[in-house]
Amino acid sequence: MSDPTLLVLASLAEGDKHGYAMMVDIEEFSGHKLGPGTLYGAITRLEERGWIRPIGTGGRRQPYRLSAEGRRHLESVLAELDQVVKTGLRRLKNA
Amino acid sequence: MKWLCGLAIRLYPRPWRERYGGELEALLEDSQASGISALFDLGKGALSMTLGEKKFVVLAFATAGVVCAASAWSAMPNVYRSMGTVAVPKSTTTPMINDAAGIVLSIPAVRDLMAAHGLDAADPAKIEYVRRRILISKRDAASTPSGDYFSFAVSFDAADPKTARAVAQDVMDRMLRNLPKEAATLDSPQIPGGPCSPSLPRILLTGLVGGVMVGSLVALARRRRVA
Repeated sequence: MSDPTLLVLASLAEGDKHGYAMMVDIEEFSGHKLGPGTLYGAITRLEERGWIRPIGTGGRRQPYRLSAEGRRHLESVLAELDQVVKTGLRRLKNA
Repeated sequence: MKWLCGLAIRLYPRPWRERYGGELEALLEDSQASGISALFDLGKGALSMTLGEKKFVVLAFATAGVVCAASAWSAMPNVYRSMGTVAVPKSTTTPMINDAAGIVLSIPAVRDLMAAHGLDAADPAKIEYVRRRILISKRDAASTPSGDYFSFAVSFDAADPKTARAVAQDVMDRMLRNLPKEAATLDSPQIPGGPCSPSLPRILLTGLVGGVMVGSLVALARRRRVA
């Protein structure tokens, strides 16, 4: 669960955020402190894939928004992870 | 460290900097991230962005480098090193040891040594080759049960372990004959259990590093040409 692109998508699922707000939010909900290069590497890849987009003219503190396609991708990945988590927990309980 | 982080941002490709550079600077200001981990992270990010989709080129060159290194290693002859140590009294000076080494390593002495061990001594190039394979180390302090001494090591590298030991022992004996009578063998040369070179890990690492460097240069050149 430390894939930076997934963490950024999960952060933006709550609402629009700029880089620093994402960094703080990700650290709060996942415990992972993304470095500046890692965060902007993830933002670059996500924007290239059309899963997030910049909104307005935020200048140096540019906010980003989750696109409809990005939301669908996040839902699909989280559903897969949910399945893995549920299966793992059930097997641990039965072991 | 802050200015180093600013410098690291300059390592990103220009188009990327024009789009995201200001945002990244703002993020550094807001987060106060300027430590070594931030610097490393920015360096990693800059490399990743610079190489972009050309990462496979680097990977291909790295793999080729490792394969070439492994082939070169398999073609290299094994070299065995046998080493012994001589203890000399404290009154023995470095020039005295150098004088003894000069006698033992003189061309006629090496020719005689080679003849004694069945090595071809007719070719001057081979005599020079064998001379370079005889190593006599610098004088060093040594402590033995019978008191404090100076010591130096004598070693010989050969293509087979038995020759390595025999020649090293002979060189040691010849050194002892040219040193004060109190000089004695501290450790006799042994038949080496395995080759001292070529070292597979070192050669593979060299191939890997060389491949990554060449691959990175090729990737950068191709990227610039496309830009």
